[in-house]
Amino acid sequence: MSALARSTETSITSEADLRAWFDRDVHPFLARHAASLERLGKYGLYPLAAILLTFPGAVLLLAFGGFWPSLVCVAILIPSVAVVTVRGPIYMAGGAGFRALFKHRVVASIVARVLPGASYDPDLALAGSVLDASGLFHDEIAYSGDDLVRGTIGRTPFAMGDVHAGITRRGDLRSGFEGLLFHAEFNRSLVGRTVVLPAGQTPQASHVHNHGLAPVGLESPEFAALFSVYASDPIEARYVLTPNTMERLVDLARTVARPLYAAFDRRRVFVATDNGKGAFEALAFGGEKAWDEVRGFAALFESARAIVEELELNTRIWTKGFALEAETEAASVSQPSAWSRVAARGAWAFQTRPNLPFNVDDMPAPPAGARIERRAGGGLFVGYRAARGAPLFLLTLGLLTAVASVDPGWWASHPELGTLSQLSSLFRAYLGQAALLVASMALAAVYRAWTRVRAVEAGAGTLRIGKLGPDPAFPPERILRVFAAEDTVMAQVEGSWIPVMLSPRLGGHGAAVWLAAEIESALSGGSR
Amino acid sequence: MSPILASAIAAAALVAVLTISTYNRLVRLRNGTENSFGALDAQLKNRFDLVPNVVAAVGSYMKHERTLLESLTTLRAQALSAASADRRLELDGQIAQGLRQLVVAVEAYPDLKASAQFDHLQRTLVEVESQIAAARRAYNAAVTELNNAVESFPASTVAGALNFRRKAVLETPDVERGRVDVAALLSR
Repeated sequence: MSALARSTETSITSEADLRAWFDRDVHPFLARHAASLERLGKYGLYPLAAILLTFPGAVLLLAFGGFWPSLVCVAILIPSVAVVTVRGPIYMAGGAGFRALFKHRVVASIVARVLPGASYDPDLALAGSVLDASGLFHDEIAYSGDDLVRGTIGRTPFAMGDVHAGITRRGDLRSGFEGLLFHAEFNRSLVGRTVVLPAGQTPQASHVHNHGLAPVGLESPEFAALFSVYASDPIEARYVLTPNTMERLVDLARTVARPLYAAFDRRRVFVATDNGKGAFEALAFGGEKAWDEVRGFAALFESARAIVEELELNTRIWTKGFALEAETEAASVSQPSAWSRVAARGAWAFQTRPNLPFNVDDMPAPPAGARIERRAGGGLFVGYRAARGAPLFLLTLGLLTAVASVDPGWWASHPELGTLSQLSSLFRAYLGQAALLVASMALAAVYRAWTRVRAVEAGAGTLRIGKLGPDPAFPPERILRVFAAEDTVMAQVEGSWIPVMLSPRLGGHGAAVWLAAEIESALSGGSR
Repeated sequence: MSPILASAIAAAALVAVLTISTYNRLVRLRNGTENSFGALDAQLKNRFDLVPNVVAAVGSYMKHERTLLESLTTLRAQALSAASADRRLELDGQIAQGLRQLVVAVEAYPDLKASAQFDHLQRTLVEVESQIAAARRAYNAAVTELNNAVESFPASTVAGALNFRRKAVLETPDVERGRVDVAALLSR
C-alpha cells in the first residue's frame, strides 16, 4: 500500500498545508507512475504517429505516382497497426485504471482533508430527481454524472456531484452543461420558487417548475450586473435575497469564477457552476501541473463550504423546523453512474464513453477452451487456447514464398498446376514489392504472436505470465489489483499506470471477471 | 375626405391610443404599489399580533421590564386602531424597537432564555422581521417603478392631467435607526 493510503487524514486549513501534504504524499505517488510514461512513448505514441503519417502519406504518394514510396509507407503502417492494436487497449485500460486509482486515492484524500466527515464516491452520481427538482436544466435533458460528495458542513447536510447534461444526438451526449451541482436544505421556509441565473439568461421555460416565474429587479447594481432573478413571488424573492445574501452571492461568483446558477425551491437550495468540463477528470502525473490539479480539486470542494457559508445555511434563527435525519436522507439520494455496475464487478473498463461496448452483466464463467489447473496452496495455472490466426497467417506467407521461389521450368513441366504457376509468375513479376509487403505482414504477425499471453500462473509467491518471449514475473506485493477490462484480464502494478495483460481476449466480460477473481484469490493463497 | 382631415383624425386616434395605454399602465403600477403595501400591512399585523404572545411568555419572568411590556401593549392597541398607514408604520417602528430591547434584556434571565417557548417566539420575531423587510423592499421597488413612470416624459403629461402623483418610498424610521443601549439594559 502506498504512503498515500496510510497517511493520517488531518484537516487542511490553508494552501500551505495542502502543498505540504502534496509534496509529502501525493507527488511521490504520482512520480512513481510517471516513470512509466517512457514506455507510453516508445510503444504507444511512436507507432500511433507512424500510423498518422504513413496512412495519408501512402494515399498521397500513390496519387502522385510514387508507387514504391507509397508501398514503403504501407510496409511501415502494417506493423504499426499491429503494435497499436495490442498496446492500445492496455494504455486505455491503464488510463481508466489510473484515473480510478487517482480518484480513490488522491481525490478521496483531498475530500477527507478539505471537508472532514464527507464521503466521496467516484462511481455514484447525484440522482436525476435532484436535477429535475432544481429546474435549472431542460426537463428533457439527458444526464450522466459521477464523483458524488456527501456530508455535513456545520449543521447542513449537503451533496455535490459532477454533472454532464445535454441533448442526446445519435446516442452521443452533446454537452449543454458540464460542471458541479450542489444541493442542501434551505434554512427558511419557502412557498414558491426563486431562481438566480447569470445576467441575461432566462429560466428553462419548458420546465414545469419554472411556469409563472416573473423577472424581479433588485436593488444592488453589482448583483444585477452579474445575475438575473426570476421568482413566483417578488416579496419572497427579497426574503431569500437579502442585501447581505446578494453581496455574498456576488463574492461567491467571483470566487468560483464561473457562471453560477441558484434555485431556491420550497425546502431546498440548488447551486450549479458551469465549469465547461468534468471536474475530476485530470490525469497529471507530476510536477506543477499535478499540483495545479490538486489545488483545483481542493478549491472545488471548498466551494461547497463557501456556498454553505455565503448563503448562511448554518444560521437557523427562523421558524423553519429541521430534522437532521430527513435532511441527511434528502442529501444522500444518488444513482449509479455509468461506471457503478462496472465498479461493482471490480472491473475497470478502458472505454471512456458511458455507453459500454460490452455487456457488464455477463455471468462470471470460466473462459471457454482454457486449461485450468489448481495447484497446491491455492495456486492457479491457466493455459489459454492457442491462437490460430498468427501461425496460420505465417504459414500462408511461408507457402506463398515457397511457391514463388519454385523454378519456372518446374511449373512448365507440371501444367496441371496452372493456377499455382500463374501465382508464382505474378509473385516473381513483382518480387520486390511482394517481399516488402510479406516482410511487413510477417513482422506484424510475429509481434502479435510474441506478445500474446499463452498462460498465467498465480500463487501466493508469484505471478508468472507465459509468452513466446521471456516470461515476466511479479511478486504479489507489487500487484495492486487484478481486474477485468472488457474481455481481457489485466493487473495494475505498483509504480506504473500501464497495466500488465494477464490474458488474451477471452470473448466475453463474464469470463474476464471470473478469471480476475480467481487470479486475485490465488495471489493471496486462496484466502479471498 | 381631404388628406389633411384624414391625417388629423389619424393623429388624434394615435394620441388617444397612447393616452389610454399610458393611463392603463399608470393604473397598473399604482395598483401594484397598493398591492405591495397590502402585503406589507399584513406582515405588520403579524408583528402586532406577536405582542400579546411576547407579553404572556415573558411577563412572569421579567418583572423589572414591566414598563417596557406595558408600553408595547399600548403601542399595539394604538397601531391596531391607527387611522392612516403612515401612523401604523410609525407605531410599528416603535414596537420593533421595543421588541429588540426586550430580546436583549432577556440575556439577564437565563431561565427564560433557555425556555423552548421563548426560543420559538424569538424565531418568530426574526421571521416576521425578515418578511417585513422583504415586503418593504418590494413596496419600495413598486413605488420606484410608479415614480419613474409618473416623472418620465411623455407619461408625465398624462400623469399630471389625470392626477397621478409620485409616492414616497418607505424609509427606516428614526426610532429604528437608534442603537439599542445594551449596557444600560443589562445593568438594570
